[in-house]
Amino acid sequence: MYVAVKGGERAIENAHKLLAEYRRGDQNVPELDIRQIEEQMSLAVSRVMTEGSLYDKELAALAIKQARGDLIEAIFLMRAYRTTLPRFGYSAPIETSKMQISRRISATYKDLPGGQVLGPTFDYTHRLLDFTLAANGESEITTDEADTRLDQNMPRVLDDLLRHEGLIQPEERPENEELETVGDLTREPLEYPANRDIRLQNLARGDEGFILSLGYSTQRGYARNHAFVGEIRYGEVAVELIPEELGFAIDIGDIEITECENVNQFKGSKSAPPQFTRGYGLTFGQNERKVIAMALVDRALRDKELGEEIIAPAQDEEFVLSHSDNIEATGFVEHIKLPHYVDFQSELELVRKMRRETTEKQAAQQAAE
Amino acid sequence: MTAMHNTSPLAGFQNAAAESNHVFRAVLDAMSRPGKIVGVSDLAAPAGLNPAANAILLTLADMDTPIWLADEIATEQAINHIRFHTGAEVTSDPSRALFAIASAETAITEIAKLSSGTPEAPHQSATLILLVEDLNAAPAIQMTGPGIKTKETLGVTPLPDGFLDWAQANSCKFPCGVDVIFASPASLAALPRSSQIEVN
Amino acid sequence: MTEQQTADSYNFAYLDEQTKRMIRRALLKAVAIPGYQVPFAGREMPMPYGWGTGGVQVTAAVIGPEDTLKVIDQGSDDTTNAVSIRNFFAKTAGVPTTDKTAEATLIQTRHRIPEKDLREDQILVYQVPIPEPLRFLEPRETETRKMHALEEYGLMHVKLYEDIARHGHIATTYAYPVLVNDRYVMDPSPIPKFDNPKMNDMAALQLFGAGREKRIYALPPYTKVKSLDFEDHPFVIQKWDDICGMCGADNTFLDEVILDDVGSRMFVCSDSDHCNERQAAGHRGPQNGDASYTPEAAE
Repeated sequence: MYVAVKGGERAIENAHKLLAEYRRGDQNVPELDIRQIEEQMSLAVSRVMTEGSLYDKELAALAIKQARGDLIEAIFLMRAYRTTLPRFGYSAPIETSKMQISRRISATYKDLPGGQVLGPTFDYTHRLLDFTLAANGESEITTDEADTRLDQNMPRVLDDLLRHEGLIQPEERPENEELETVGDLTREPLEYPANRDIRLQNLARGDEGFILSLGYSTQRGYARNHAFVGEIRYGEVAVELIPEELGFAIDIGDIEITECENVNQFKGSKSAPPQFTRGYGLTFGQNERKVIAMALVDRALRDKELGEEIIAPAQDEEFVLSHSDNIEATGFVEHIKLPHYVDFQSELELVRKMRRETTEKQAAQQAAE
Repeated sequence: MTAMHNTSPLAGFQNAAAESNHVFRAVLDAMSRPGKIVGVSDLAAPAGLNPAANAILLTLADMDTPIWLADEIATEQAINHIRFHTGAEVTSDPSRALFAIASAETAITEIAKLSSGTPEAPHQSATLILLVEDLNAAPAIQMTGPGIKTKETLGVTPLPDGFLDWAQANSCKFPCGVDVIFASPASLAALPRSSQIEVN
Repeated sequence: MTEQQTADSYNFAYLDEQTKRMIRRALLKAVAIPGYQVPFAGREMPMPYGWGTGGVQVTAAVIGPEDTLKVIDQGSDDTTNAVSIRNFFAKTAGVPTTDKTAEATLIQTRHRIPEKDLREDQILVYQVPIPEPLRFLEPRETETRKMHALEEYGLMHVKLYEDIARHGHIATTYAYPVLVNDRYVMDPSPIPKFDNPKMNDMAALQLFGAGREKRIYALPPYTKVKSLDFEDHPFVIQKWDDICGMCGADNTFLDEVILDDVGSRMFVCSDSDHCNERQAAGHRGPQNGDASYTPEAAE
């Protein structure tokens, strides 16, 4: 006899137990320590903090461990935790020109004040598997003292160098900057048209792969706007808060960030002389791929401001902003594995009915012939 | 209560989650069933407000909801109380308000300045909380529309001069319009923009 | 190290009071403008988008200590996601839960409306994936918003009519669009069109939450809800040749259950509570001891 499916509760419990077992893997292998992830998987930590919109390396490392290394799942854990946190206040804008630099490069100048600082980069590694790492045979790591002593003067390429000649599109400050509140996607629904603050927040939280591909598409001619990396800088900046009762800024800690400013093809109009345009990217931690791609897409999305024709996906604000969030995307893509048998039954009923009608019609035709 | 300093805020909810839920369910019930009279818990109100209106504000207002108070309601005690408990901005511009508190003494020309939203965003409109004495007196307003099985009647008193004409014009703007909550001291009833009204 | 969060450290029904206020304001606007989708600042919930985060947020903003909660998915209380959501509220709100439609004050549902008539003292909360009924005709929010503002629903009628021209039927069988209060075209969520008539003039308040799309909408009780159709092609609901194998009901939505790999199947009520209640009252279907039943006799 047919018995209706029961026991959902027990099935869920068992699934959770199995998940824990699979997460742990072979118990003869030592368990990962959160600190190990934080220190040795630092780029994964950067990504999880950026797309999770929460700067906390330890929590990001925990999320990566709990998610079995699935970074989107880890980002989801961060987001869900972040939502429950109270908001104490709003920080002052960070000053990236005052960054403690770990890496700083410009593609637009051979040399510049402060110099090119390669820092920790994969750029010139040969991609050969390092089997000494496989054998846990780490050699002692030392860096040359001389290499780490940096110039104190590290001007930002676009604002401090290019702007002197008026060659670059100025970033306009709103007239009443004090009164303008910066939008926040986590506190208000996304509505169109979106201003640049909202677009940049969306791109910063957006999926690295999605932003990467969109940025790439602009380079291949879908809204082509040739870009040079004006500057990438990676390092530590201070976060300051101005408590209302104090009236002056207090330093509440340092965060690591990567910033990219692109210089794009010049534009001119009847009223403005030809000048370069720009795109901006920023992430927590170190993530150059993301900031460069983000700056490309930011530039593409400035089409309305620059009076450009919208011809490609990367320029289409509603398309980009509605599909960039990987937590939304993965949820909706994956949800079709949930039971849908009621809707499927409805379709079955209709398809059978239409087939029956077709057969009947054909039979009637044959009988008439 | 009267012994307290004139401007110090009165107590708010003791248990915010439970009490605000209770008040919200009362307002939701009233808004879903226009004309239905719903009781609300007794919470001491500052001069200018009444207990039901106070409970509604404590439940629904916060720093994202500018509040406009008609002159007769905007006592120092009421303003301090609202700011302290909700963090809401008290605005002197009715067109910016998401919640507006008025009474029979309020000029209808002020109420007419409240935002009724736009055809593309009709939800960006104000909710008017009107302080009244009684919801069940004559003459009655007859209401029909969503939430009402056949017909509902309300006998709200006192009302500002010209209120019923304003309310009829308001319902003609649907889907734009202002939603009204009548707050008598211990109970409330709603007249959302979706209700058609006739006056006996 | 941050302390591991436990259920105790979260607010009643998980959401903080500020978030609840924001959702509650949106709900009141939704009720005042029946069928209109109110944007709200949906939060990330501790379950994925697509799993009912919109319904969960609406339930969390509405539920109080005196409520009794029922959660169904595909009409059943025992589908895994229904179990999971029910447990979430049992843990975070400490409210009693039930399988019985009649005992619940608050019912969260995915894809079905219970067979039993709902009462004035009940609230039905729907989980909604795509709240915009015009989305499949026009993907842009900026455009669909204008179409609703102008009551410009011609495109929808054209689409339905094209179905008739091509298939002889309107080919939409679930999430079948409705006109609310003669004003807004609304997506009823992916319920089968079988359930559409239950929405019309329902005594209970109906609330809809779309978490990923960040929209809330509502049907107050006793609101006119009409499924779109044409004079020459009136709206009709699904009918089965079979009856429920367990309780013998001939007027409920039936799930098809595959019994083997050679085409044997039976049909069972999708609403598990309704079916159990009928069986308890002595009703029997053909696979459950009603020997007198033959498919021919049922027709």
